[in-house]
Amino acid sequence: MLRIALAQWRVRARRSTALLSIIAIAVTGFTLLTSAAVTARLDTVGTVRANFRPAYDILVRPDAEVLPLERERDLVQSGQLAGMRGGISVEDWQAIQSLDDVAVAAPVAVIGYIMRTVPIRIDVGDQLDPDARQQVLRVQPTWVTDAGLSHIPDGPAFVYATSNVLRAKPFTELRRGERAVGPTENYPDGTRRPVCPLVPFIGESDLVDPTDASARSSLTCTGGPGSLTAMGDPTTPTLTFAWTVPFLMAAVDPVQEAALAGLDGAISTGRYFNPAEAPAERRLAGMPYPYAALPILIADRPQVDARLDIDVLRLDGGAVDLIRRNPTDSRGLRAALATRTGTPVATRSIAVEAPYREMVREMLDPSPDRRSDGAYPNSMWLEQFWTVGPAELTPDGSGLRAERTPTDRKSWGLGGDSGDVAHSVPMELADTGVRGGLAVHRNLGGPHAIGDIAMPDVTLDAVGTFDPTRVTLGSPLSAVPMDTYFNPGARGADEPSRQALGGRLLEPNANVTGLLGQPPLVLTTMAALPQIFGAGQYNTAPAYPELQLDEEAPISMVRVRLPGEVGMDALSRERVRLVAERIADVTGLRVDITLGSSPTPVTVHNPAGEFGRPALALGQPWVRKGVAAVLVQAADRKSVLLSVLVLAVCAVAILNATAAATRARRTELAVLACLGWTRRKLLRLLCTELAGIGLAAGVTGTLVTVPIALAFDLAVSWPRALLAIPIAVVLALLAGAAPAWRASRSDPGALLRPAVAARAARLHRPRRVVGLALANVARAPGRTVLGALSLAIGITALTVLLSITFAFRGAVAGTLLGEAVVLQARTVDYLAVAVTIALGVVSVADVLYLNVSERAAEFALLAAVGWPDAALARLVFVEAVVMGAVGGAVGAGAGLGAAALFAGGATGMIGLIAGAAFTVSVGVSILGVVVPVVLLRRLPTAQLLAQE
Amino acid sequence: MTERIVRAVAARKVFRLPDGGRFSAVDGVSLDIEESATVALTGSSGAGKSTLLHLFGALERLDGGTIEVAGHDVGNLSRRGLAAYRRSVGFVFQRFHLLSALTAVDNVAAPVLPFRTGYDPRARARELLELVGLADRADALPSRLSGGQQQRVAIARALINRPRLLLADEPTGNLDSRTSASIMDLLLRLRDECHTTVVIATHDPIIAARCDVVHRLCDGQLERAEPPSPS
Repeated sequence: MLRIALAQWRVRARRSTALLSIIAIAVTGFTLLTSAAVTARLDTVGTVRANFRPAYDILVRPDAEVLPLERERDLVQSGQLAGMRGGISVEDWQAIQSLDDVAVAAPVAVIGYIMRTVPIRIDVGDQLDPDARQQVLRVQPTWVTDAGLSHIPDGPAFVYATSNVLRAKPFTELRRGERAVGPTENYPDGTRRPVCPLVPFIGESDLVDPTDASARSSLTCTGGPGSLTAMGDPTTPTLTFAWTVPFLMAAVDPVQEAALAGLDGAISTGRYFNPAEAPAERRLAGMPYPYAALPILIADRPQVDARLDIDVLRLDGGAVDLIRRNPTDSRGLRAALATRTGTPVATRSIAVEAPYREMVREMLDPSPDRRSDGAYPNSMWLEQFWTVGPAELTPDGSGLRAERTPTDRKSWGLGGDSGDVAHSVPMELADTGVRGGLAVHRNLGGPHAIGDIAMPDVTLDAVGTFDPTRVTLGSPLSAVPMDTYFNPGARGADEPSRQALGGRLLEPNANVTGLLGQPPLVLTTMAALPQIFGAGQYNTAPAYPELQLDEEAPISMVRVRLPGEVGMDALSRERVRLVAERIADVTGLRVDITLGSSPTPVTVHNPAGEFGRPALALGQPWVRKGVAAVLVQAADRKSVLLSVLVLAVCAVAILNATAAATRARRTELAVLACLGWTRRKLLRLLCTELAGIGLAAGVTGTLVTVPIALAFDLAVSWPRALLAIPIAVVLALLAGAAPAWRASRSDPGALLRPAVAARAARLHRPRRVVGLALANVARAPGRTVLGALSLAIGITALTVLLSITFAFRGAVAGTLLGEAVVLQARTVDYLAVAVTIALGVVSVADVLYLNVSERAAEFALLAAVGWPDAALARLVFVEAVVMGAVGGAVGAGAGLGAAALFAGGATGMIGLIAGAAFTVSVGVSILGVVVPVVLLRRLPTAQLLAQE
Repeated sequence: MTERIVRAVAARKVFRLPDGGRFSAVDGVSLDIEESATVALTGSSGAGKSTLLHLFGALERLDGGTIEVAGHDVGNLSRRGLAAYRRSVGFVFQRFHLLSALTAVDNVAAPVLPFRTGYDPRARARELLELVGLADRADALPSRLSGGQQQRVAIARALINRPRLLLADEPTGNLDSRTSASIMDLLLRLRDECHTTVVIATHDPIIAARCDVVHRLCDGQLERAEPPSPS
């Protein structure tokens, strides 16, 4: 029996090799894909496990701070800390802290913005024309922000330089009630003319918008040797601009913050807070009441996007005439100078880093004796601070829209035309705002009697600086809102926005009513809160109730971490759920479980700015909750489906090939039956042959699997690789059993008749090759159906595979963790699709090959009567397309149904995938034509015609 | 004066055997065939008569010598030229080789199916079926036709392109003697009515006897040309 089987393999070497190859490809594909699916699942679960636990497990917020979008989509917003006004009481926080199974309960209480200003000195001496007796320069400062999109012009500074001597009446010589005036210019001929008028003292009623560029313009005069200012200093061609940065201030608990974020390990200079560090009480000599020094830590690097561009122009001669003709009206003079033209002579850019460092240094070591900076409110007194509400967001499609929100900029104060450069309000505040609720909180000072000198009773005492990049934020893939330290900025969420930003991030800037809120740059301790939120400490304007400081509940959020290891296991998740539930019960606050979450961009459409920034759609980094669980579930489901699908496709490919091979033997079997072989013996012969080929294919598949697995970095275990051998044998036997059984039991006489002639379907009037091809398809309907079916199963698999791949991506995409996992699983997805398509091609090619082989005489006849090669190829091509179309339609339809079941309904995407799979079906069926057409060209025409 | 339509000069065809050996099926055959003649190629099984016929019909490639058919050098045709040449000759086979899904009339029209013709192929096919006496069976499938009828359909198919040369390989090999005689009658009638040169490979002396010229082959070589022996 074995000898006969061996002889068969040798004699039918081509067919045996083809069958062996198909089975080998199928089992290789099966082994690789199931391994890849398992590997991908393990990778996914591993990645999820490694990034499962963020910096904190639970976030507690006041219910009012939660946006509807968060509730709808299991999201937690970020970047909103600056707009939070509290809502959690110290008692709530302490209650959370005292719960069992709570290791860390770290509160954040947002206080508000304080302004810090640093002088930027610009010496324009080099830009003066040494040959000109009198000249005027215009120094134009422009604030550049929003990734370079916004250019905000500040008020121009004019410099009048004369070689004549300028003298101002010293302040010390002014009589009581006498108003200071500008200097006089002493000409060589003895003439004295007043120049450079001063601005009269302004009262509250004169306050204007502090970002009014005309009010922020200035005039500086410098004269020849011997010229003196009213302070008695020599005049110099030096301008001093004010660079003001708002610092968001918040209170944290030193111990809890150290435990949660390792803030104590992020100190860059000075020291960390002491546990429960409270403000120190101090008293200035002669003052009626003490003051409280709040301990603060300052971020050692700016988190504002700002640059100052300075353009120096030398104005035309008419500017000097204007100076001469306007000895008294400073505002009118500056307005007139602003209209003059000039020649650019210099430009300069200053980045925010150096001025910011100067601000920090000044706060760490306040120098009360800085004469030149006397105009800047840089004392450490916390005389006033400002609060701003949250961004006004309304739902817009799948995201949000930030509404333009006008504010009364006078609330920032200090908006007066003083004629000099002391403007301690950032010019960026002139830009579009999306945050309302602006309020100023002024210190009322301590109790004092009439006649006492009033002074603030709160001051800031910097104990050190911290580096925000050194706090513990956890894995980037599971980062939760840590607005206390970091605002990563936002990327463009659509193409126009990305193009406008040029691939850069939009970062917070000095416009605190702007698109993005800055993280706190100044931290104090929870123990300091009573000095700010205590009754009678600060007076709020405007006095609307909703703008008042929340004395009862100053805390904005509490971040909670459980003790010990918290993993992905059900027990850990239940622990967290129970703690969250208890917090909600005890405090009645909004509780979000952030365990297993991951950042996800939420699109916020922002209005255009006033100074060049277009409307931008920004992907703000919010957090999606429960991502890890979704990921693991999706990975499990996908792994199982993938394995089943792959097994089905491989089994069908083997079934088709084996059945065809057995069918091709029917004539021989019939001869053997005629010669007296019993059915059982025939069956045994066939099974021996099939088992032998299956065994060889299994071994080949195993040997091929190993290098491919190494190439694709797939972990294929030896048991799994060796499993290919019995699978190949069993599948070959199972697939061949039915045709072999039929062949062994059929009527030998019937079998001896030509296979294709046994049944003929009539096709009327085939007009062209297509018609004849259709007739041929109809002649062997069983085989056509089998070919189409094998393709259909492949296409079903492909449709479902693509659907689950997209559904998988859909289920987990959008978050950083999900994207990481999708990226990880991409290889196996592509591999699975490739193998499925390859098996589809093999199935079609095999059916076409058999068609051509069994109808070789017919093809030979058509060649003999003069059909050109192209016409013969077209015949096969049409048959392939018909099979591809039928298989594709059935497969895509079935796949659509299965995918819809998987996805819980047919989506447009699944429909598109089914359409694409149908196209692939027709495409691969055409690819399957290649081998049969090559076979056609090699047909021994004469022999075939003679044989018959 | 009659013209020569086929000239073979030292034509040779060698086949490789599975054991690596070589077998000369046609070994240096030279012969001329006059137009409108009926020529029989006879010989025992394996003598090379079918192979020689296949060489005439360009179904096999020559391994040596030359064969010219109506001015075409059959040995030097490109694949495209080969197809065009095959349309200029008609071929009839022992097993008919009808396409089982097509009716008789569609089988006759099958050779011109891929091409645009200046005539209606089906009308022409019906004419040919009438010529071979099967007008009433035009719409029958091959499975509904007798062996003789199938061969008539095959002959009609061979005539669809109005060939000057009709090659018939054992056209009566599968038929009984009475049917064989009628097929032979048909071929002779075609020669007379259509002036078609008919070359028949046959081992049947009765068929050969009805031809104008008989060439006998033995071991791939031409023994002699002889007039047909009287039946």
